[in-house]
Amino acid sequence: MDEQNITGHVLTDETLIVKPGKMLDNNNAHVMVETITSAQAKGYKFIIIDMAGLEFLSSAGVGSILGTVETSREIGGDIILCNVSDTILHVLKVLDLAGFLTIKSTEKEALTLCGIES
Amino acid sequence: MAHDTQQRLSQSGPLEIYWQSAEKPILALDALAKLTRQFANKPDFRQLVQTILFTLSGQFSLSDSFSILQKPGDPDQKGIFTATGKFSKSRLLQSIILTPELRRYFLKHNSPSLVSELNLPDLCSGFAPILSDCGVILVYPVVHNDKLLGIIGLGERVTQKPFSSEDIELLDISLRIVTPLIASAYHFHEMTSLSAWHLDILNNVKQGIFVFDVENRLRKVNATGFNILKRFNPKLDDVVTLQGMLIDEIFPNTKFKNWARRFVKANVENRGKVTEGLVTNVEGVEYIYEAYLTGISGDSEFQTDFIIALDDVTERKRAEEHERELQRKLERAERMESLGVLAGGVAHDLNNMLGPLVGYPELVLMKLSENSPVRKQVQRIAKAAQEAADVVQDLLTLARRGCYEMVPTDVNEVVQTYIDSLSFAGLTEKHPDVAVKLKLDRSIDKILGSAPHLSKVFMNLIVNAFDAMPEGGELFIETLQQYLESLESGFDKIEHGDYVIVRVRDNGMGIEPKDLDRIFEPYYSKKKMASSSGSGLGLSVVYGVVKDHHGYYDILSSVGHGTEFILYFPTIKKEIQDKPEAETMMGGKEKVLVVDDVDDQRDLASDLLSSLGYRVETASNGREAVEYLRNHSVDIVVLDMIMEKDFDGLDTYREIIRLHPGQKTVIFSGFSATDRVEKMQKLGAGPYIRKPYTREVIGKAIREELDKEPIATHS
Repeated sequence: MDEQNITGHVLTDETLIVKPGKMLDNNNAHVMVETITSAQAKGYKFIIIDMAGLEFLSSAGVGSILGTVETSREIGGDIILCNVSDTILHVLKVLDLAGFLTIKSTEKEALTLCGIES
Repeated sequence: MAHDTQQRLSQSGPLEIYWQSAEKPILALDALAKLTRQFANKPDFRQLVQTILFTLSGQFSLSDSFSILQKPGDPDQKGIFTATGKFSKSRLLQSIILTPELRRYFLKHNSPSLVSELNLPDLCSGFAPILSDCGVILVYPVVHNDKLLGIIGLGERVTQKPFSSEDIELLDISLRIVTPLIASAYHFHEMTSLSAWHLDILNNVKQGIFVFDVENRLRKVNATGFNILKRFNPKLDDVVTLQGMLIDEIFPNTKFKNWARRFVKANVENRGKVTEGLVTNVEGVEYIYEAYLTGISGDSEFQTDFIIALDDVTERKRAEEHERELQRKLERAERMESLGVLAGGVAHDLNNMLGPLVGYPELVLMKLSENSPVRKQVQRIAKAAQEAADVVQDLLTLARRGCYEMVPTDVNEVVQTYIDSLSFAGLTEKHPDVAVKLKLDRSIDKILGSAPHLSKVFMNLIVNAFDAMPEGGELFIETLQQYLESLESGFDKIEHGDYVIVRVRDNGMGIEPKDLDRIFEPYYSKKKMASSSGSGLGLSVVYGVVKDHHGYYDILSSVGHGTEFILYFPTIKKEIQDKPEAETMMGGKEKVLVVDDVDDQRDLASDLLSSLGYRVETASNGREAVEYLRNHSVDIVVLDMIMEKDFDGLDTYREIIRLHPGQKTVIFSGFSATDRVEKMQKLGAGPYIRKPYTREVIGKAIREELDKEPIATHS
């Protein structure tokens, strides 16, 4: 089930990159929430969700991300999406979330936003 | 399919306008359809509810949502709380209980409602402010089959846009789609919890529970039941391997199998309760079970099942048997005690009557010439009187009131002396077909005992053994010593320590079990009275003497195979030396006061002591003796124990030592009140001599007491 794996990579004391597999849906939405909330509890302010490999994002997947955004923003951080495909970007737009979520085209841009120069 | 939908959503072209208005509901319905498919076959309730909340959150652009699902009819119980976003940390939301009023309201208003528009009755008017304070904007009752399962609450949209009527309609449709799924998952969750709970209960009861189906195949067994089966088949390692096995295979032991068959039959014929006592052995260890058969009643598919409950009552049954045996022993002891009181009373009177008969012949013989024609008759009187006195002594022993002298005694010596006696020789002569085997352990310690009485015990047992083998056989007599913590029978609680054990075993006719409890009773004999001993008191004496020696006994007997009496006597330490032989000097010239309320006894004592050279004064009761001693002094007082009820030997002695501290005194009685005698001796009195007594006995006792150092006086 590699396509549903979610992995985390520590960049700095404050920043973590989370990479979902091909799908983020009913099956692994709860894993995404656990991954992000666990990172937030450990003090990571910025969590970059690299969606480069993501092919399908369900409503549940979207919901799992939405519930965690406010916590990061409350401590001066954020949840940043990057490498979002057009298809998924369209879904986010349909759900009227493109303006709410912080979306960057590339990981570099996301890192810059986190104050990390590559 | 999901990919297709997203592909379509991403398309643009002629249908773009259509898709833009329809794509959001399509996306929602597609998500819900996928969710329904996923959880229809895997009803993980908690994950389902969480996923629904994620889906709604995503679909309606929410960060916070929650649900409370609560068992209908159990309003006091907190429901199952699930949440996303900040609602997951809200203690206030977690504390919500759906009261009957709230339930009634939501059943009536079965559609999504804005919290600001809730019109709750007074009894639950505080509910809406709680929701508002927590940031809940919209609440939806989850209703299935006219029952409220719970509520779902949604927070503010991240886009800050209010819920439109289209949004609420879509939410309503979405939730109506997933509500049956929630209901079935919830019921499955309840059943699973209930099943686990029942299993916990089953595994914690002390009975082994076996549930069989109508084909007698095992459906369920609890932990205790599995352990019982493991007792019979240690190789069993997994309860799963038993599932579906036939009742015959479950209980492979033959006894169990037969028993199981009876149960199956009982189950077929009568579904009522059956109780069975089941005894079985595993490697020599006996286990006792009580079993109960019950059918499952009701309308469920399980109503044809039946349950066997096995209760291991081994310990309880053993304790009950032990209790019964103790009760039997107690009853036997009480019987013996009351018989003893009777015998003791008779012995007292007989002893007083026999006194002159035993004592005077000696005096008469002293005065008769060697050639006197009546000499032989007087000797016969003396012999008959002595025999009568012996019987009375048996009675006293039986009454356990024979205050005989207990000295360090070698049991081997007592046994050997009897074996060497003419009496034993007569027995072997009478029973030539009985082979006697003697095995005496020469290393045994001495016991504190009375050799003449012990000899009587061994004689009685040996005589009985001979009588039990009229056709011949083998008599085995053995002595040994062992450290014991319990008897062979295990029934008596004994003082731990070293015991000299005497075994007297024959291979004769044995004793019926029903007689075993009563053989120690006087005259309870299955033998003809004309046999060897004939007194009818033999085993009663054995019982009394053993008890007087602080000993115990066991009897092992089997009809047709023989009987073994095992006697246990506590040893004494080796360093306790044998009592040195007393001087045999009897006579003297000292002044003696004889106090006895029976004229004959008083005269007899006076005559005997006079014949030994003593100067004798007499008093006919205690008060008279005290009165005499106010103005006189004597070297020794011979004091009868039993006199007037209100002024017996002890009362008299107390007065005497007030007048003459340290007054030497010898106690006489035909009936010893042991505790009062002991009290006298503690106050300083000398030895106790049992009536009837011979000239030699009274002479020795008085001489010894006179020759002792002066008595330390008691203040």
